[in-house]
Amino acid sequence: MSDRVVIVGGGHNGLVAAALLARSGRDVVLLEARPELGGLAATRELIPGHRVDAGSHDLGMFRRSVMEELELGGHGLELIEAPAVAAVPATADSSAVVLWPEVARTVEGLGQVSRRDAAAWPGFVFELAERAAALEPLLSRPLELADMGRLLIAPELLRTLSSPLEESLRERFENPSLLAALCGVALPATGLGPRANGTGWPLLFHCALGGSDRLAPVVRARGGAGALASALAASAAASGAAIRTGAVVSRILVDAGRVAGVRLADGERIEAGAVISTATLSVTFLDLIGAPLLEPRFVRRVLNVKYRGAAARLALSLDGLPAFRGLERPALTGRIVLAEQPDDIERAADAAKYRRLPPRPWIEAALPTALDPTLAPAGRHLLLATVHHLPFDLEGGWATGGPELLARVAAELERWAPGIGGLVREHAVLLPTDYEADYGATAGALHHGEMNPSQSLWLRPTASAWAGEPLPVDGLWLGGAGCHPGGGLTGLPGMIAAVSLLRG
Amino acid sequence: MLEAEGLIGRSPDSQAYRWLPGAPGGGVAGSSPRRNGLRPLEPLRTPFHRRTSVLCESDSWRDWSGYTCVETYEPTPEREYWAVRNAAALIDVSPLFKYEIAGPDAERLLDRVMTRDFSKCRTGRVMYTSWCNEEGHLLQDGNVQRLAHERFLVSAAEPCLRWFEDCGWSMDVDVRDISEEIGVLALQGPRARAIGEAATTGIDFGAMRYFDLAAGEIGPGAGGGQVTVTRTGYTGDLGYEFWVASERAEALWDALVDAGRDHGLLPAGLLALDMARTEAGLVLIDVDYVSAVDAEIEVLKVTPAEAGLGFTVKLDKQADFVGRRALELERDRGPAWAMVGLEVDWFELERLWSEIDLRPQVVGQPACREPTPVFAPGGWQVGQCTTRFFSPLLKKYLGLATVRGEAADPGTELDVEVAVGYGRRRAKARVVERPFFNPPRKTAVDPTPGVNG
Ligand SMILES: Cc1cc2nc3c(=O)[nH]c(=O)nc-3n(C[C@H](O)[C@H](O)[C@H](O)COP(=O)(O)OP(=O)(O)OC[C@H]3O[C@@H](n4cnc5c(N)ncnc54)[C@H](O)[C@@H]3O)c2cc1C
Repeated sequence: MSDRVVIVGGGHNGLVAAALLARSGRDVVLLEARPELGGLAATRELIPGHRVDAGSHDLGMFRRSVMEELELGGHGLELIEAPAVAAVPATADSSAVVLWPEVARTVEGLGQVSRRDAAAWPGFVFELAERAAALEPLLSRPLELADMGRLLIAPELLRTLSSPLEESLRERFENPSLLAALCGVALPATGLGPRANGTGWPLLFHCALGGSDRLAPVVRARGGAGALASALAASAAASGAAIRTGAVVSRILVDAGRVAGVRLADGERIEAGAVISTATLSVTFLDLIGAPLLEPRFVRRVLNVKYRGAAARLALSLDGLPAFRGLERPALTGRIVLAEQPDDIERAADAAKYRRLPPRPWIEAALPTALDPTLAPAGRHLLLATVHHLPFDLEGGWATGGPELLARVAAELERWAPGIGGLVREHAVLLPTDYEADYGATAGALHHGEMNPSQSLWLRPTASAWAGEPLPVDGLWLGGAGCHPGGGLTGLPGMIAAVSLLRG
Repeated sequence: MLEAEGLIGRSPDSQAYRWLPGAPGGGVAGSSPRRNGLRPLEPLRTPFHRRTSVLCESDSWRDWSGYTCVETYEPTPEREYWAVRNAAALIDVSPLFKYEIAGPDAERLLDRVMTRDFSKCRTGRVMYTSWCNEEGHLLQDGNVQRLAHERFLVSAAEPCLRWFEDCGWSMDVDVRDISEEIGVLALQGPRARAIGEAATTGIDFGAMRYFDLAAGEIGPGAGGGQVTVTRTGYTGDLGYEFWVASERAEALWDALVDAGRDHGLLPAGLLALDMARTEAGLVLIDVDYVSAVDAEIEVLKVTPAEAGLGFTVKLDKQADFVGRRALELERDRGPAWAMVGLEVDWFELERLWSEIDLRPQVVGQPACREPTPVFAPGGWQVGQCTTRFFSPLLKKYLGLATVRGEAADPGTELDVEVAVGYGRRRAKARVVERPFFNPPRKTAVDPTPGVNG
């Protein structure tokens, strides 16, 4: 048996696994289908001369200890922390709200819109941090049965994570913009509106990984999120890992119930004693292993994974900074949530449920050039508008739905930042179907399976087990966002895979 | 029964409780209420219903997978039973679930699901097989017809569309529930060949071997419509099953009844069928074994070998079928249970009944499906007897029982609990070979009445 470890997928999780394993002296080959590394956190020149992040551009949840161990700083990674966490601009009917990492600064701003909310904010942040801290230890290793006790003895934590987010938030807050900001931070990639049960979980998750004692700040990599992938690749290569792009794995080879290696689309065969797949569960099991090799009840389990809550990204090259009402420049550095109230998100989720476009899409916007001007040619600004809660299987299809969505997004942007239309010079779009076609993200799911309690913690597969049972193929490990603790730019699934494999 | 009777009384025009395809208030268009695993609230009618209902003097009906079926046409099933053994009987078995499996991967799917080896099933043959879950626990048994190289028909007692889908994910194969498109008549008994021959054209009955299938036309003349005939059945006798498009079902019935007039053909209900199948030692799902799908507790689940179907498990086949690993382990360690035939000691029965001044009240009764315990002689329980009845032909009180492997050898003496009046007593019984009755005509080449027994 070969002691080589093959890693399928060069997203950040695959790269973390590759770097950690190579550092421990393992013979590692990483295979990425695309020409560039980074997966859903790659930076591409989607607009000539611009460095556009295809997916995540926030490293706030990325595990610091992994950065240090892999010496990513030494391999060219430079972090920039955004002054603002999230902001909602003002409209004719609603007020602007800005959330800062610093409690006092947020309280000061909230005082202008609601004295009650301002007074409630410190207690909220404290309690959130406390609950997130209780959760955090469960997120960086495979779960054990004993961990269940931690949750069961914390009824408030359990209640928060299983309740509708809006309901929990309304216990404290009244201002619609503030509620929208928090929902906008939490709900991408859940497929659920804020009135759905279980939507407390993603906010806790976000805070547990993003900030121990304060609201998780937005952190960017200089040069775009792809700089993280480059640094990880450099670290891995320095430890001897072979990293290949343009290498499409077409089969994980199984011999008598054990992985034997992989076969590439061009026919090349690479022997391996272990394979870590960071592709989605659907791709890994149904396409790469193949359903006929798996037990039917396991196939059914794979088919039952929910991938709702797709997103589209519109990148705009602008002539200048757009004028979002009521927001000063530092407030534009974090997430800009374009929703007046939680119901705007709820209605988008409703439409998606019926396979329709939201009449008024809610948008998570970002202006990465506000922090890092090198991303666009001089004088230009880059606006990334992410439309969440979209149906993947849109009624009528994306060929006609795409342009229609674009028109609706343009109208929304104009409403929030009057005059923005006149600033646009170039644009690029990635639709849910593009995410699936380009990155193998099943149903366009950003997190390789939606993040709700029914697909989290014990219910999400971990590196070597799923639902308490070992994976059906020996020598196969899972290391992508589809496994515990889940999606987002955390590096944790990849780290857990590497650590589990090293422990054997 | 009560439920079914109450429902039959309801006016067919009443929409209130309807949940049939296209009916207001429910049902996906074209989907069958049975397919959802639910019993329809109004009994369904087989495509032969207009024929069977006028003949059903006893008005004794039974629900079978949502269909209303004749239990016995006459007040008692005896004559219908004797028709199976001495002449021929016509039995409506349309409620079977039927799936068409077609496409380049059809054989591959069957080989993945089924314990038999379908690479060895030629076109024009039928295979009786089991299928299991991942633990090697029996899900069902049924027949598979190979209609063409890439087309099969599976008939089963319980629904299994979803199982085929799960097992065939990503295969190039189409699985279709055609249960309602096809009516099925079993023509069983020594005269079956002569009747079948007279009722159809284009089928060489003499050339049809046991478990062969052939296609022809209904009626002596042309234009009667297509029919597929399989030399199969559930009676352990010479017999054929006729598979016909529902629209042509009545034409098939009429042709067979016409042809059967000179042969003593009788329509037979499910009670007669049950008697015949018990004599043939054939196990029945839900009676003699519980499908792993329906077993509420682990101990109720059985492997094919434990249900007496070990002969359908081909561990030497190439394909990796569902449950294979578990069944290999079972082969090495031996099955824990065995399905056996029991013959209850008649003198002992007479003695027990004479204590309450009666003759054994078992003669002339339909098969009893109440499971009763089986004991080591004077000792602990070693299993249960799931079907038993007095065979009018063999003049024996017989049973099908599941017993511990060590109590399964023919000749083993056991005790079986019998109800004697209100009392529960133990009677001596002996393990005997199944089938209890196995006439040469069942499998004879070119079967001729009177010659093959
Ligand atoms: C629009 C958008 C916005 C997002 N916003 C945020 C955010 O704000 N914060 C956050 O934390 N996260 C965000 N995410 C999610 C985050 O980007 C992903 O969850 C994360 O990047 C997943 O990383 P991964 O390594 O597990 O998987 P991926 O990045 O999907 O990597 C898998 C890799 O495997 C490759 N692959 C698949 N199949 C094969 C094959 N057969 N052979 C070879 N290679 C193969 C793919 O090409 C891909 O590169 C966002 C995602 C999107 C799309």
